[in-house]
Formats: sequence, structure tokens, C-alpha cells
Amino acid sequence: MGAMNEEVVILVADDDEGHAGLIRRNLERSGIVNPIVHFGDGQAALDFLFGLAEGARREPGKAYVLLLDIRMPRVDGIEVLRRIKGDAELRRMPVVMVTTTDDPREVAYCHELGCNSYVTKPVEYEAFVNAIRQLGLFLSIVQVPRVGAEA
Amino acid sequence: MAIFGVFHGMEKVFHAMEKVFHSMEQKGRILPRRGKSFPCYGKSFPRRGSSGFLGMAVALGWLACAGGAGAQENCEPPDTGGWPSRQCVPKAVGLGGALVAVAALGVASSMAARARRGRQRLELLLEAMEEGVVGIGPDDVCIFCNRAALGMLGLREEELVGRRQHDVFHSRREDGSPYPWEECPVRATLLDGERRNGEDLFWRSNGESFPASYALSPLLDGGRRAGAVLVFCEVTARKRAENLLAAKNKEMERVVYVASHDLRTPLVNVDGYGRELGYVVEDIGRALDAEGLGEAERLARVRAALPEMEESLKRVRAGTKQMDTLLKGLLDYSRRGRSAMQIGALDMDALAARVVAAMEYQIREAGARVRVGRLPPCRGDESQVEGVFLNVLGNALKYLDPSRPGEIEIGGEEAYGQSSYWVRDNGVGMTPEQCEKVFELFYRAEPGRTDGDGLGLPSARQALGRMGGEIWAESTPGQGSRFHVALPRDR
Repeated sequence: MGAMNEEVVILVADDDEGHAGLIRRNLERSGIVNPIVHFGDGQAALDFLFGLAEGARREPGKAYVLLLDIRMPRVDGIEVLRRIKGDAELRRMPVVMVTTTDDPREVAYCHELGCNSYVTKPVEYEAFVNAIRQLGLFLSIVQVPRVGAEA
Repeated sequence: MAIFGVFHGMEKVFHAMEKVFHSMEQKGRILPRRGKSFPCYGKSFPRRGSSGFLGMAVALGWLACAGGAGAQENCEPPDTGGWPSRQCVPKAVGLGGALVAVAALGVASSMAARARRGRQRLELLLEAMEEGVVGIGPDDVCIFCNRAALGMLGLREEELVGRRQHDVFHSRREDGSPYPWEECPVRATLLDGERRNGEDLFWRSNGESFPASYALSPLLDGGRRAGAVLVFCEVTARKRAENLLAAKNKEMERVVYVASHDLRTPLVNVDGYGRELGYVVEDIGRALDAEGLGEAERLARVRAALPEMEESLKRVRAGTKQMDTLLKGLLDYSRRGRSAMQIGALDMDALAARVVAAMEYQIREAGARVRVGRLPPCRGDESQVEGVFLNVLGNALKYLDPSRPGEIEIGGEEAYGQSSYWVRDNGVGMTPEQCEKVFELFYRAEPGRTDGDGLGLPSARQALGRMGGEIWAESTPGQGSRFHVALPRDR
């Protein structure tokens, strides 16, 4: 398993704190030690990414990866994905949908919008770990662009 | 004589005769459409009326007689003013002819009686039909109609017959915009003589509309197009049943979605943190079995695992509680959907006053002002409708914008045969997607901000659907929302 660039910040947007905790625990168990930032809904993620509100916002020149749930209050994951892929700068940031929905229409729609990967939250723990491992592998091989820096 | 038997009315016979014989000369020559002319001692007759018909019968009697006797081809009948002359034919033949003529007269009179009976039967049949029947002339003007048509359209005969059907009951579309005559199916059938059927919206004289299933056939007069017959029936009951079925199917889909997604969310936690507990137990086991560790160090390791165990147990318990809430909600929703309803006339002014009184505490807490306009009456189940308005008003109060004084207005009007009401607020508002999502089971705009089971608006939509009503929302984020409630009008 390739080592992941430790400078990359992993953003997790999931309204369920338990799910976010499981994602974090399993990323760590897979040996990924990158910093993880959690958002409770889509609006909080947008606030951070686009600097829409007071508080933490993304730093120019830093590399980010976003793990994005779909069903969230206020602004859902589909809308967050749409906004990111519609932004000239942010569109290069890898986005992985991590969701309980495996509705093929929804999967197809997310791919159409330009998500980089789609992982269904499985109930089976082994499968979940596998999915996260694959995610870790994915994260380690993707050349994460530095958002905000000239490519 | 057979020719008489096949036709049912005088007019028809008359026209049929015109088909067989091109014309009938004053001096007694019948010119068939095909073949040679027959000599005939008959009288031409006025086109309508029984005297003319009598003349016809006599003429036919002579025709039959002359034809049967071998017909003297070139016999020119003397001018007797058109009536048969005995001089022209042998006596026997004359007698036979007279008999045939009498027989023909008999047939003719029984024909007239049969025609009367036929017409009566036809009228009885038309009146007995549950379908509406409207005869339409080439100019779209109604020629005749039956009682069912008048009943469904809420018209008197003189309000329909003599007028253009398109103007009387087919002038508008569902949204009230004009229905152009160029798109009227009646016009199409009048033009091309083709049969048509389908569904369309017809309007009653009182301004209500109803979906109608119709069949259009051309009216033929001697092969020539002379208008159209429109046969229709109301499909409101069927349409309502179809809508209800569609709504039920959507609800079912939603329930399946809830079961598969919303229940899966806590399940992921229960399963995931159950496994986490397993890892901790393994860690504790290793700590206890580890060689070369002092008692204190072992205890410290076990103790260190406690917070993780507590955290996992908390998540497992939260997950099972969430599942329990969801299942209870589903059960409750299904129970509400099956409760008995008592549909009656509702005084909405009184109902709104009760709703506002019941919410007085919440209104004061929110510091809001609620204005209620005059509301038209409607038909529905009193407690269900009250529940709907309590819910909508409760939502308006919950989602007020704290940065400005809350203004809520309840209003209503009668439109398109329905009583429609609205609850308008100047609260935080919703996006167009949220306007539809709020009616989904267990959807909550901001779970942290307000309490609620995510069942209120879905239940309101369900209840209104069962009463033949509707509920929907319009909103501008940051400006406020408007919830519309429509119910059948009280007649």
C-alpha cells in the first residue's frame, strides 16, 4: 500500500457523528494518519470550502480530499458536489461519495456531476473496512492537487 | 315493400326514396338511378308531410302494378293531374294496382305509427343513458342533447341547444386559460369525419370543471357529413381513485426508501461500533495475557480502553433508539392513514379561530402576529383538517426568522371549483427542493434547531389526499414560505 501524502487534509461531511467516527477509526486502522476535519452538514462544508462564514476555512495552497455523504440537512451532498464541480478552482479537488444509498440512479448522477469515486456504507463491517481500505489506497495514489495554487 | 321495413322514420324513408329514385316527375315517370325509367301514374308530392307520403304510396302501388304486369314501356299516361288513370291499364291490372296501393297505404300508416314508436324508443333510450349525448351541427352548434348531458353540465336544454358546444362547456383548460377552438377534438371530427375518443376537461354552468371521457362520431346524412355526435361520461370518481392509487404507490416507495436508508443509517452504527467493541475486548485480552507486565500496568491498560468502550456502547444504544423511533413513526403514520373519516361541511372561519386559539402560547413565545382573513367553507373531516392547519401554523412559527418580527397570514379563496387556503409567513424560507422534501417521511430541515418527528407534513399530505384535497409549498429562501391547502368546495 502506497503511503499517502501526509499533507493532504481529509474532509468528512456526514451528518451522522457515528458514521464520521467509524470512517475516522477505520482510516486510522488502515494506517492513514492525515488530519481529518469533520462537518455536520453540507452547508458547513460549503462554508469551509468557499469561506462563506466566520470560522475555519480552507487554506490556499493546501491539498484536500472530501468524503461526502448525500443525505444531510440544510444542503445535501449532491448540491455540495455540484457547487464544487462548478467552481474553476475547487473542481480539481477529489470528492468521494460515502453514503448509505446504493440507488443506481443516484450513483449515476453523482458520477455525471463529476465525483471521483462512490462508496456505499455497508452494514457488513468487513466490507466496510475493505471499502475504507480501498479508499485509503485510492487516496494514496491520487495526485492531490493543491487547491488555490497555480497548477 | 321491403324498403319500408328497413327504415325507421319518415324522414329516413323520404331520403331513402330520394336515393333510390333520382326524381319523380309530375306526369308519372320514375327515373331510377340505374336502368330504364318506369312509367308511373303518380303524383309528385311536397317533400315533407303525410299527404306527400300518401301520394308516394299510391305512386308505388302503381309502379308495382305496372312493373308486375310487364310494364308498358312507352305508355304515356294521360294528364290526370298526376293521379292514376284507369284508362291506361287493363282493368285487372288496375284492380291489382289499387289493391297494392291500398296495401301500400296500410304499410304507410303502420309505418308512420312505427316511426312514432321508433322515435319514442329512441328518445327513451337517449334519456335512459347515463352517458351524456350531444348532437352537434357542422357549425359546432348543438342540435340535440339528452338529459344526462344537461345534468352533468348543469344546463337547461335551451342553454345548450342552439349554442356552440365549445363556448358552452369546453372553453377553458384546467388552469383557466382559454382552450383554443383550433385544438378542439369536435372541430377535428367535424372537419375530417373521423371517430375520436379520449379524455378532456368539461365545464359546468356553475364554474366547476370535471374530467370527462368522450367518444366523437361523425353524423352522416346520406353519406354526407352533417356534424358530430359527442358521447361523454364524467370520470371524476375514477380519476380520484387513480390519483389516490398513484399517491399510495409513491408513499409505499417512500416507506421502502425509509426502511432501506433511514433504518440503515443507525444499523451501520450498531454494527460498526459493535465491531469496535470487539476490537477493544481483543485489546483488553492481550493486555491481560501479556507477559512481563505488572498488575498496575495491566490495570492501566484495561482502564485506558474504557472510554472507547463507553463511546462505542453509547453509539450502539443511540442507534437502536433511532431505529425504534423510526419504526414507531412508521407504525404511527400507517395507523393515521387508516383512521376513519367523517366528511362534512366545514366552517373554516370557526376552524381557523380554534387553531389560532390552540396555538396562542406558541404564537406569544415566538412573538409573532397572526392575521386571519375570511375563509370560504369546504368539505372535509373536521379533526383532520384542524390537524393540518395546526401543523402548518406550527411549522410557520418554528421556522420564523429571529432577525425580524414574525408575520403570519391565513387566507383563502374559491378557485377552480375548490376551496383553497394559504398560510404565509416571513420566516427563513426554503429552497425549491426543500419545498417538496418537507412532505417526505422523516425529512427535517434542521434536526438540531427544532424538535419534531418528521411526520407532520407527510401526515397532512396523506390526510388531505384521503379527503380529495392537496397541500403544497412555495417559498423564497430568506423571505418566507407559503403553504397552500386545497379542499373540495362545499356546495
